[in-house]
Amino acid sequence: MKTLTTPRPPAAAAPAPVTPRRRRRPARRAAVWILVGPYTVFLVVFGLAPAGYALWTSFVDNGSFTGGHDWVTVLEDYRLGDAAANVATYLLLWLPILLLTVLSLAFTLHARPGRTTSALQLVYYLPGAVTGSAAALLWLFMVSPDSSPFSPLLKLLDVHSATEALSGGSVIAVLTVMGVAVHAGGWIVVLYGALNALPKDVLEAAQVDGASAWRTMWHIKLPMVRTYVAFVLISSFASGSQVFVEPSVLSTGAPGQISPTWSVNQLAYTYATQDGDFGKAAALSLAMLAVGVLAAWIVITRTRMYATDSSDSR
Amino acid sequence: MTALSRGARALFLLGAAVFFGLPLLWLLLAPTRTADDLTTGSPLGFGSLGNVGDAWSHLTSYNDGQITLWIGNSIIYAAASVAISLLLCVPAGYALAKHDFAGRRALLTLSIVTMILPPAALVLPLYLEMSALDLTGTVWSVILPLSFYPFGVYLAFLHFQANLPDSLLDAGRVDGASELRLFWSVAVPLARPAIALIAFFGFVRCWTDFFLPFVMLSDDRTFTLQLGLMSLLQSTGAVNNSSGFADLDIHQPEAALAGLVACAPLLIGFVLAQRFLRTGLLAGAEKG
Amino acid sequence: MKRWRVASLATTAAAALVLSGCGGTGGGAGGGSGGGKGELLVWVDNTRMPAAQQYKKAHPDLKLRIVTIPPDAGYVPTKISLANRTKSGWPDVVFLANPAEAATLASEKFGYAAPLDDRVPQSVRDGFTPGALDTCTFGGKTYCLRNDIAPTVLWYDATLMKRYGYQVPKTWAEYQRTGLKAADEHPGTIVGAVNGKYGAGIYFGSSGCATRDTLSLTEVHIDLGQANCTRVADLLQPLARKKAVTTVVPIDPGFAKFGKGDKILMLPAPAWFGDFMFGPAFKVPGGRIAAAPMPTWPGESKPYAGQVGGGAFLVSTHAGERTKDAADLVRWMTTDVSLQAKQPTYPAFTAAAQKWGEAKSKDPYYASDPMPALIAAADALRPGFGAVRFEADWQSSFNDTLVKAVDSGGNLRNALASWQDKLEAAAKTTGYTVG
Repeated sequence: MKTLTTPRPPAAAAPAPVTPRRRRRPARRAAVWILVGPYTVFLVVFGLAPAGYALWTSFVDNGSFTGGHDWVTVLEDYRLGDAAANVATYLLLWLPILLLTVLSLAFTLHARPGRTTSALQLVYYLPGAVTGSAAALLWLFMVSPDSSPFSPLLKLLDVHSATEALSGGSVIAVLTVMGVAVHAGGWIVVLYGALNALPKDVLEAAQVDGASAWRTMWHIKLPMVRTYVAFVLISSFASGSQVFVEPSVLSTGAPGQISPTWSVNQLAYTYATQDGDFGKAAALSLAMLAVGVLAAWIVITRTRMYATDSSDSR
Repeated sequence: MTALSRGARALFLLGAAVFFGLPLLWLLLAPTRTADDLTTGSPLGFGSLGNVGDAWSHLTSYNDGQITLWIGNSIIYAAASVAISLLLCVPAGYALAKHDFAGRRALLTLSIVTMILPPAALVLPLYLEMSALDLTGTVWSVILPLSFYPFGVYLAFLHFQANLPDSLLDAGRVDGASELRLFWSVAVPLARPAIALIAFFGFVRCWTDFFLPFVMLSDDRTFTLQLGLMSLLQSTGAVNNSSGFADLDIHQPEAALAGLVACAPLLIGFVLAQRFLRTGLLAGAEKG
Repeated sequence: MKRWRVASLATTAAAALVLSGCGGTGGGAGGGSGGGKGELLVWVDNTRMPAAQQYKKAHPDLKLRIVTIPPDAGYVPTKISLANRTKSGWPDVVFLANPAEAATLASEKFGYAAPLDDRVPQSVRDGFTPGALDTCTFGGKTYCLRNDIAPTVLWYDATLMKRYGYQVPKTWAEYQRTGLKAADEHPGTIVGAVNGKYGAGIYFGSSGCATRDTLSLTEVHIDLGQANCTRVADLLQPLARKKAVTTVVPIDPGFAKFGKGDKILMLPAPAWFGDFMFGPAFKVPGGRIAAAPMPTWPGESKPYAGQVGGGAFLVSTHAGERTKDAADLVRWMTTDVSLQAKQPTYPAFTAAAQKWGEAKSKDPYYASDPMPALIAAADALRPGFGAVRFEADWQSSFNDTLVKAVDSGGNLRNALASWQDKLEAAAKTTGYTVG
């Protein structure tokens, strides 16, 4: 049962059961609430209250109940279909590629850790560090065949200008590449760290058994870090379905090319800021939140990823 | 491992390094070049170091060097948020891991849910809340929401659960130490690597956050660096020529330099934190 | 133990702060309208900053707070929407780098832009270029004053024209012939760019095609079936087939390839392209670029101009007793001749434009004095090009239909029908009835 000593899942939804060995005494209870109280206040004020307020806003306008009218008009908005289709396509493309990139790089790095390992991790992390307007400039030039270091690749793909890369169907390809470049690095570090924390004796035993590197990865390492993989998957799904930053960054570099309501979250933002309609914005945001929570819930409960490996194995 | 597979492995890792590294290499070289050279020269050309100095002095010509004010603001916002979030996260993570109390399970589940929620989704309601408290436009409107960092609590929780044996605490109890004392003098010293990790992740989050300060702050004097740079680069037409016509010598090389300034602290932080990152989120203390 | 207490106290103090809502210090414009304490709060972009400071210096008695805002599309509506929600933090005066946003800010839902008819005398408003205030006018009321305008002219490369032995076209038919000829004789040469606002504003705008003809804040006239729309499609169709017009957007860094390679023969484009695009972005050397009036459409004698860009000032309905000061500042910013003469783009105020042009006429970058063409263009702004709340969709729907058809060699007349559908949908969503 060596696997039980691997690191705990980073997103175990069901908290590990606490053994009843701890007696509750008033003094201790007071101490606990001193420790946990301030955080609880912040959780309520900055986590639950805004979510609750959003729910309220989506049903009530100026003190009068709108009875879900906002929800209906949102669902009838012609922009929603396009935006939802965009986000779905993006997720279909981006999520598998991201996961594959993260897994393959983390495992390849871990197959033979060396002096270059941390340098390589830094390199993989680099694109994620460039944000905002600078990112707009960077990616605009990256997809410009005349001035991009990737120009041979762009020419191979028959892209003649940044305009072409950022219009029509190719926007999604650019966003996917950009999304992978920006998000992969952080997860590679996390996953590599998890692999590194695996007990050495198990891996050595596998080597003694003569298991190939591939077999070791597939049958031993992967199952042992599956909780991390699931965490990457849930978090990425949640952030991917709420994609907002990447399309808006690309459109500051080339205004008019990408619709300001390209993604669902952008549409919600447009409701609030350009149409002045906070009720519709709240309704759509909540619907998107529900999608994220639901996805997390499914992964957590339906897969046995988080069947708790007891926290009391010490 | 055969030579062939070793070669394939190196090729794969290097290929990926090229993909991830080239954009930043371009960004690194851009300030040394002229705007003309960027659009018409070879993609990875090198200009001169003198151009970098010029680019910086051009950047500081915007609103009398306002960029340095924004850097200062960003440092204040990030430092305060990280400090408060550490004060919240570490004790909470400890209590969740080592104590049983009513509401523990709810607290943990809610933390996980709010951790998965993308922050952008809550920004607008947060704005209304801050406004009700009459805090919009102030430093608190940025610092306080950023101080709520459930991911940090979760990291601390995992760390204490995995790496702090109950026997250690029980020994302390036998010696008559109070619960709070146990936390402060037993748990915290053992948690240094985890605290460093939480600080790093929290710093990255605060430093790069755009949406929250964008919504909360209206006065350019209170802007963060990210927010200020948007204002600067858009109004000078540095990213695209049609966005602004300010009579300042701020073009693409200056924009690239500004981008480098904005991401430098992250990279430095990354290198510093790599010591902890490498051993995993949980700092691998089980084996230490 | 003590250290612990300090830490815990700090945390609870921070939490208490949140709950009690005190500690609202720090710089900021929160609380009430304007800058608070009777301050006149002015939002301008960086380009307008020196002018605002000059005004402040000239009015030492006036409490004035100037804030720099980014010229991003959507920034001002975002901030006003948030201020509306919390009923505080409105600026008294704001500069719009995207004047179409006036339609959003004046709408009933926003209720932010104040009508200026009673605040700015008719005589002053008459001093603006005819038609310049159309984008500020809804239902007969003027909600903003234009700072600068962006009439389109026919920019051309005088050196190439001479080298190829062509004449600068006077009508769109000549323009089309010249374009086709150039594409045959000198492959790769372009005579125009069709993308986003640069395609829709330049060609359809100058033709008077009703893509965004605002009748009031709630009614817009959209009719792409008319001859003044189909003639644009017919003009562009053969040019598109021969690739004499490009769909690369002029702000694409790759557009420099055309400039560098002597491929830009003509480019109908707004006035500001002369100073800000041909040299800095397209890398066309000095002494080559010149301006001619836009070609004329069949049956017309006047070369009507489209519009792409420009800025405007507006005053808040929440300015209260500061309204008079706010209006005075806006009037000064837009009409002071010596101030406007120094600004980067074509002034909307006629007297200022003349003064502004004196320097432009002598600019050695141009092959010949561009001012006659620019003045003619400013005097011939095509009516019916209003500020609409669906500006962004107006651009992206143009790209999704017309530009797509140009790229794929499709029928442009057919694409007009789908553009019409998308425009109508966008207009209805933003609260217009389509007439």
